[in-house]
Amino acid sequence: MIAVFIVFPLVYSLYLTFNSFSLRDLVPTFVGLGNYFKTAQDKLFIAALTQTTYFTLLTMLTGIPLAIGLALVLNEDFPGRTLARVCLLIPWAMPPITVAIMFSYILNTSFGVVNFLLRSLGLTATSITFFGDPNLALNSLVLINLWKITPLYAIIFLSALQNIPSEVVESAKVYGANAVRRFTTVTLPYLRPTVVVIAILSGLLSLQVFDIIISITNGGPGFKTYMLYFYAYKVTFDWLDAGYGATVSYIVTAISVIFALLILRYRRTR
Amino acid sequence: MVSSRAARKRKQLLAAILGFGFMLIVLLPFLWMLLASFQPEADLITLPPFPFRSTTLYLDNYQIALSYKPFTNAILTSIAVALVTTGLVMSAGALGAYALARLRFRGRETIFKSIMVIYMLPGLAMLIPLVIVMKILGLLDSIPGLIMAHTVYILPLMTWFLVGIFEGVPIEIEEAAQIDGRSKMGALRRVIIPLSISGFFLITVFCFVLSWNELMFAKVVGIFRVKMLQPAIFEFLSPTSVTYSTLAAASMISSLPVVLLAIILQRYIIAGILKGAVK
Repeated sequence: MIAVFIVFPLVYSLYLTFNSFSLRDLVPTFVGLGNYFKTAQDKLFIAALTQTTYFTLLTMLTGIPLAIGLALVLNEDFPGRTLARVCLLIPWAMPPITVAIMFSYILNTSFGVVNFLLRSLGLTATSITFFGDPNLALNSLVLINLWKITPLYAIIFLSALQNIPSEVVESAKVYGANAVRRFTTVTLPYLRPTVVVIAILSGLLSLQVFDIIISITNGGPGFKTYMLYFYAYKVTFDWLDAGYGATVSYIVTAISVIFALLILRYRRTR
Repeated sequence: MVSSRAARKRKQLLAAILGFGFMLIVLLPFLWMLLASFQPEADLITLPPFPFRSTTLYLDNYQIALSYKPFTNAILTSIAVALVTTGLVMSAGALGAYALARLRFRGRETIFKSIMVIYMLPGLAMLIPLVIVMKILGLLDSIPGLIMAHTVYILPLMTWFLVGIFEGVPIEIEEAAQIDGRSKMGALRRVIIPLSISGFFLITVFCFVLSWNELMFAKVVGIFRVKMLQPAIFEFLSPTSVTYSTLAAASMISSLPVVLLAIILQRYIIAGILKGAVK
């Protein structure tokens, strides 16, 4: 029954990609591979693809080191550790819309506290338009996404850290390895499987970023924060072109399946 | 020995500083928003931007939000949809996961793998056909439609988690229950779920949070007549005239239940994630 409920939509989706299909009248017209050819000439599609790649890579490259660092810190025994661990869950539990409202207030150009502090400390002469500047908007979204998701990865890294046999660490100490060497020669190799899984997971989640885009920039300025998933949504539900929207979302799906298979494969070989 | 102890102290101090820094980064935006929700709008859009000028307790934002009919309706809709979805997902998920964890049948591996792949798929690939089917069946813009959408969206992931949890229950205990004359259903209800209750409970909470926070499905399926909380708040976010004071209050109300759940259950949630990640 589960299979019917879930496989049917996917197959139907695939069928839609070969059709021109409007949500207004629900009459499909067969166009073959037309929708797929359309993507190759669609400037917006290509922009969205580039921006998705940029967003995904930047999130991965900054998020993983941050999460490992955070896990290392929280693995130490210090007063207040329990409280710090509670904080790991708050960003994850918060509704994305709340996160979006929160950051658009704090990072506001004219009366946001971040800009106020930057100006008072003399770090910037004028306010930074975090979401209005075409060169900055996507980076600001990466920042917000990191705030929401990094703590969750840190929990997973924390569990990996706790699985490192303490004898190994102790013996490295006996041999006189300093903290940096212990990290690179002992801790990091143990963490490698987790890094791979988190990298794939982070890729998957970045592909599907939607809520913060629609509620903060809505794709703007210009089309600078369009990402594939968001674009597929716009095409389908704002412009009502379900055939083309399904095609774009199927391309996102294909990329996700590759990621998912990578995880499965990795789990088996381990 | 003395120097190593000093080094240990230094390390602890460094960890404490960094850990504290992290707490600030997480908590400050949240507290800022919380404070802002108790201030009049005029105080929020002036410089310097410190939302704690007035010392009297200012509750108008909450009053405005809670006396706005569409908003309170959205809260009720969200509670109903999230609860029913959680119920449906957990019952269907428990049955499915039990079959996958215990029964040996042909194609079991394939189904298990495809569930894992499916849960990683972008929801949109499922949403587009779902909307078309609902439009034909007349389920669009109705509470059953919202429940159906969320159930389909959340079920694969939860089933996948539940399989892992059920596999943790030793099979001998279940066989003993069956020798005592319990059916498979009875064994599931009376033996397996009680024995894995903490994990089961955790997934239930997770399911509720997912449904409560979800925006895209809720926004597309509930349009005029029924609206869930997240899309309702989204609509307050008009790009031309954002009133941060009421928005702050509304978003605090909407994050209250999930953030509270996370804080109260943090020990179990973290333990659950730790256990799950080990596998």
